[in-house]
Amino acid sequence: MKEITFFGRGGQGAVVASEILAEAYFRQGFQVQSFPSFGVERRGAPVTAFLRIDKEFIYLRSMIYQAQAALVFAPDIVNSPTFKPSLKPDAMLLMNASDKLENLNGFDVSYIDATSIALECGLGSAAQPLVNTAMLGAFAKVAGDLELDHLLAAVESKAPQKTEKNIAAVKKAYDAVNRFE
Amino acid sequence: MPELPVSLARMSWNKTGSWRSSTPGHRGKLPPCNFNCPAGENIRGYLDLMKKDQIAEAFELLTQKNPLPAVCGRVCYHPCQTDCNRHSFDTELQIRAVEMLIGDWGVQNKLRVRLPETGAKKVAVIGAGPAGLAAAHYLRRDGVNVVMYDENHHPGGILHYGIPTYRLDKEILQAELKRVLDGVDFKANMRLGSDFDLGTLNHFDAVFLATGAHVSKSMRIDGGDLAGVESGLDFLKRVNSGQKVRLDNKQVVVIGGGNTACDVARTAYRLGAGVTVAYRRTENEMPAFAEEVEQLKAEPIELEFLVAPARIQQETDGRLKVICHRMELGEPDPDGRRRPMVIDGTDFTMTADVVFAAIGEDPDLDIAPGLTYASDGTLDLSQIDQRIRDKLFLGGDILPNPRTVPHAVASGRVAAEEIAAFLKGVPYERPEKPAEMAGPEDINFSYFARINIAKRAASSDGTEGVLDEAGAIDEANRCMSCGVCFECDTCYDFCPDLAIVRTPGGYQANLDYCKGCGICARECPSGTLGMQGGQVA
Amino acid sequence: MNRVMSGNEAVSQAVKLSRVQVISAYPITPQTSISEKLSEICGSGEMDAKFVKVESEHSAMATLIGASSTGVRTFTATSSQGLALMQELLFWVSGARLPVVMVNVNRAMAAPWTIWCDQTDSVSQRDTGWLQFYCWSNQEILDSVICAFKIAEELLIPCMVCHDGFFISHTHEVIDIPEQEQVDTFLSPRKAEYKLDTSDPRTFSGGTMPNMFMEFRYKVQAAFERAQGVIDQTYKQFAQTFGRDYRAVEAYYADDAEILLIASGSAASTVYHTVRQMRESGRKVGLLRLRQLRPLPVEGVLNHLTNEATIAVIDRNLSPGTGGVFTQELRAALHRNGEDCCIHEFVAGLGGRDITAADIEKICDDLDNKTADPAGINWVGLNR
Repeated sequence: MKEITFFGRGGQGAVVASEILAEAYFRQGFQVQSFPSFGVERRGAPVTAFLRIDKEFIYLRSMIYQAQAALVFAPDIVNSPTFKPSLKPDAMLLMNASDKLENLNGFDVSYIDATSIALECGLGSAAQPLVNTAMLGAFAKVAGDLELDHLLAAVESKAPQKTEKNIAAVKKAYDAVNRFE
Repeated sequence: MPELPVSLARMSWNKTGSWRSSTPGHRGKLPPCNFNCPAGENIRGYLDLMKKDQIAEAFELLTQKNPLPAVCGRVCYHPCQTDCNRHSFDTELQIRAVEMLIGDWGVQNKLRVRLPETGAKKVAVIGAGPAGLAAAHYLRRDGVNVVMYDENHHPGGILHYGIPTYRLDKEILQAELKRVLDGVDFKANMRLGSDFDLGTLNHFDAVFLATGAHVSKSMRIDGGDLAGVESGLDFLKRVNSGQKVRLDNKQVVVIGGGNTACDVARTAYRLGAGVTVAYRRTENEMPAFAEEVEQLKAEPIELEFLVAPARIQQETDGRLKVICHRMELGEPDPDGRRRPMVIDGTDFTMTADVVFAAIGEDPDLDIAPGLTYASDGTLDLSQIDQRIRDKLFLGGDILPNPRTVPHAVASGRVAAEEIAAFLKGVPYERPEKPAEMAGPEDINFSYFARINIAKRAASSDGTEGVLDEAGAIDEANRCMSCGVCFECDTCYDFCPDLAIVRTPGGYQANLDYCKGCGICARECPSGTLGMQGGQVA
Repeated sequence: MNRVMSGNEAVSQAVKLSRVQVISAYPITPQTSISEKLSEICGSGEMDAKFVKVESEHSAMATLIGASSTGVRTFTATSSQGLALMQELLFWVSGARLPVVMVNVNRAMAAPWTIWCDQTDSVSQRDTGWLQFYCWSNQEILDSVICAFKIAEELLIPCMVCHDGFFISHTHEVIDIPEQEQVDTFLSPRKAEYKLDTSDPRTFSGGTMPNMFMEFRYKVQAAFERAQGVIDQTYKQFAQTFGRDYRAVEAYYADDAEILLIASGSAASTVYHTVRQMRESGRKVGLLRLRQLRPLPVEGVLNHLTNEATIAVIDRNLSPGTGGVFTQELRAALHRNGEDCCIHEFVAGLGGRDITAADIEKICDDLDNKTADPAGINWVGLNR
């Protein structure tokens, strides 16, 4: 079983991202279980969403406390005291950032400037870019167990509006992910 | 015992109607539009047909009471609309515009009335004004031979020769009159009293006299007979007859405050004159319809209130000096209006090229020798040859009726019914008006939706509300059907005893089961249903 | 067809597949997406049902009382305070023998204000005469709603299908949506013997004298006593049609268990996950999953009790002054059946507190070490 956590802020689309990724892994042949950190959603407030994938049906229904992978939509969340303890020490992180971030020793970190890609693709506004599909595109590249076509199909089925812009964001991010090694 | 708590017997044995102490029924109130219509139109009825997009049926229903909808849709003072209960909710329905639309639809589609074959009876109608037209039309529809006489070339009377073109288009008028006079033998240029007299009509089975009131009252003041002092109505007749009347750069003073004064002033203004209207009371007392006064005020015409002419003098250059008193209002007259009183020492002078007197009109009594007024204001017919008198009927403005087009139409239509009864030798009873009108307090406004008051479209001259067919249907849909069932099912839905049953055209209470709770009456949107006290078996 | 969808969406799918004719519901978190989806698909014509908009849950249930009385199939959904607001009508529905089906998305009762999960809302309605089912997955919700109509209409007893707010309602997972034709062969249109019908006027649930009231209550009780047979028969037919087998009590690793945990709802799912892990490390732990509170599946529990097992109930609800409702119910029922075994009582996860695998292991450790109180409430994860 693989456990993935999404860290974002209200309005960035983290919960929808967890549902799209669940759909993509389902198309890849996995059993999936996605859910938001159960709370009242508010624009700008920290939002966490979770995704479990496994070859068998998933009975564990608690929240995720030691994620193997994380998609970090808002990099300032890294400074929260609860961030690192919620991850395995060698977790794979995908950061929405244009430059390398400090203090992430031990983690397997990749970077994608999802904010720029979202705006280039016309998703959201400068004040409120919708970065979720760009994040997913980059994740598909680094995850290693998900084919891009399954992700694209999932985006198409879960994002009936602005589908083409979201598809473009996925593809752009898939090619642009950076490890700064 | 059944599995669930249900009665095994049908409960219809339980005649709960025996518990009743009051009974629902129709209150019989009239909607204000119908109640107030001088012509007796079933306005609520044709609005209902318009709602259902049945304009042909609406036209048919409307013209059963008024053959002149295109005319009345333009010139009627629409008390239907003024008292519409919607007034207390958002804004009154534009009933006159709906009527005009229906009338014009009839004209455009060249509708003809299906006329029966005529029988042996013959009636002469004298005067082709609204009363004569209505009488002739309905008599012909009843299978009577009608010969109509009028002193003018065109039929229509006041409609053609009195009302200015900007208020009533002559082509629409004549097109509508063509339908109204279908099957009627119209004899033009026949003036009673000069071209023929009543005695020559003896071979008719009845005679209807509707020659109207078109003799201007003269101003009984010094100089009232000077050249340049003219009858306002004669002036309108000359203009409406197509004579070239020029008033460019002339100064005109109109004396009076009635509808004729308004028409004269506005017509003179359109012919190039500078116009002043002088009226001896204030705007509040003007006998003209409020709408006419508003339209008069909207034009660059000077209004002088509390002014009465004292005498008129002719200057050497031919112009007129109108010397006027300033007035004030004193005690009320018997008619309720405050009497104007001269304020001494306030005389002043207005200069004019023409003075039009528009201070009222009288019937023309020269039509028959010996015709006079009785002391009560009605006509004294005692000098008329008895052979004619016994079959003579009167209508329109020759009688002391309110002088409006719809009143004249009603007078003509009622006369036709009366004459038809007379020809058949049966007594005629005038239908009685129901005593009550459904007012705003009777309406359940919560059942109706307020509208954003529709933009009132204007005709080419910007003076009249005009609707297209879709707009008329929208207006009709605003009708609350005051006092009249419109089959909305509210009583049917609300009755807790299922005692309201649908019947053709409405509902009835099944008194076997009606407990008299009154919910149907309380909820009735249009105020149709009411409760009558006491048990009714 | 397999699809990924949330628990609440599974409810809407089940309602549509069951060809419900009248729906009335009032939105409340975390039920809202059910009423939204149903009103949407009724409005769009995707579903041929009347969705009656109302101003409260009380009105929603009142609407269904009227609708169901005319013989049609009816549905509503609510949560927590909404369910409490309906309460007087819940008695009416069962007393009038109306087969209404309702989904309750479990949410704790305020105060203090909360929107998160526990079962106190539905368990506190156990005396209203409704059957109560508890689900642990999105698939089970869909299947249970379809079964509920068949069971309710057979018994003339209303059914409440419960699932946990957020832990199920907002969780997306893979679910097999059956074909409409399949559902139609399993669930026929409702056939009501007595209908509210103006052409056949009758009195329904009218004033009833003391000489008859008790008899009607007796019939309700008799229906509940008959219910388990009807439910089991329904599951048998369901398995034949859809290939998924359900039981009132589902036992996992129970036969040789030294510790037997009893749980319901989404907590049972995490218990099952943990039990399997513990079995891999050799610990003899088992699970009895209760899928019903009404009727309480006593026989299903008795079948799996052994003298060797230490028994513990995990209750995500609380009846203050007594404790967890499943615990109290089981203690009374087992005693009535001559069993005098000790039932440990664990109260966990109130107001949405997470129940984790670690919590389950700790419960087992406390039972093994005999540090758990055999008589009083053992509070899981409580900060005193």
